[in-house]
Amino acid sequence: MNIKKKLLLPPFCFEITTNSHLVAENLQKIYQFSDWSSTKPADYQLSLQHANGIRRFLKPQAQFKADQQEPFQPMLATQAYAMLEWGMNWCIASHEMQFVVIHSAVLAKDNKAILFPAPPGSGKSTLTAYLAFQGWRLLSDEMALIIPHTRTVQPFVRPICLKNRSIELARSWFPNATFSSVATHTHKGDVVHLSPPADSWHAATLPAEIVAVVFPRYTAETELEIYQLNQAQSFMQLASNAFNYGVIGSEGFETLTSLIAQVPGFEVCYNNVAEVANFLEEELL
Amino acid sequence: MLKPHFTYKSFADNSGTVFFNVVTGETIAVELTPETLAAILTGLTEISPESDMYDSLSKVLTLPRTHFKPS
Repeated sequence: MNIKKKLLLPPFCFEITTNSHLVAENLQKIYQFSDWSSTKPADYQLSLQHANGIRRFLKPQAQFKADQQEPFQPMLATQAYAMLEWGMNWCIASHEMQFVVIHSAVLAKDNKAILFPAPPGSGKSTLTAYLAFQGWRLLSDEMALIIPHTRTVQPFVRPICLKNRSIELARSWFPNATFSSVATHTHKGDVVHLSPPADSWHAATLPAEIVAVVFPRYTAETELEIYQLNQAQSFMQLASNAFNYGVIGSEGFETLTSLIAQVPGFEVCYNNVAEVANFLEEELL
Repeated sequence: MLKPHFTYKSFADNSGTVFFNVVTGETIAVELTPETLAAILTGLTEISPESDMYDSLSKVLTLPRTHFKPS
């Protein structure tokens, strides 16, 4: 049976249709603090359906569609919820041009936001999870939506995507937190989505001002090392993590150069998230 | 002189200058201050046509004849 629901995740609204119980259950659990009764028109119509054909008896698959486009190959039905989350990311990264969109976590305290742009494998989401449950407000785990020509970042609160070893780590840190089911053997390994604390959901429309950019890099054998980057280095690293910077033209360039001219940039190599949190709170806020 | 479609920004900490092609999105960074760039453009400072810096700058700037790469 198909379930159709509208999910308001400011500043966007998704209409989700699914016949997957796994997806429906995870949505209900992870987005328990979200608005499911919005009258706002949907920005994206998403569909997550079990694939048809003989394969469904052997190795059931699920198909994701966004506004009738199918951006990904079908995945195993057990990975359907992770595919929906990635599909929502794809919608925003591919279509939203009114923001400068950076592949970055964003966390704030007292509305002072820090960007954490980083490629996969840098430990960004583990650090994000730790900070979000230590009194920081999560604005996004995956993408920073910067309002052009400002230092203002718009929240897009979503669950934190944890992979492989960080899953057990997060479960041990936050035993009472809400985790999705595990999507095993995805192209990223095992994946779980972690719902951030209620405070982050409740402040989902409250923008914050960027005060620093930190490029995190987890290295198991390295104790905390902090390098202040010069502005040219910060800019190039930030631009290399931008989704739409090359597409929106001079607006993106001017926004990022202006941002880097106003806030410090750091590269942080770490193997202990608590030490990073101390640095952020004592030096950057 | 700046080539068509390029815009640029020199950073206040003198760490360099970035050029951006507003049509293609191509971004090129050079570790040169505005003063050094001005000296190159006016021919006061020469750069080797064989250098990487020459290749980068020739994409975004029309360099004076003294910098022309010999054919």
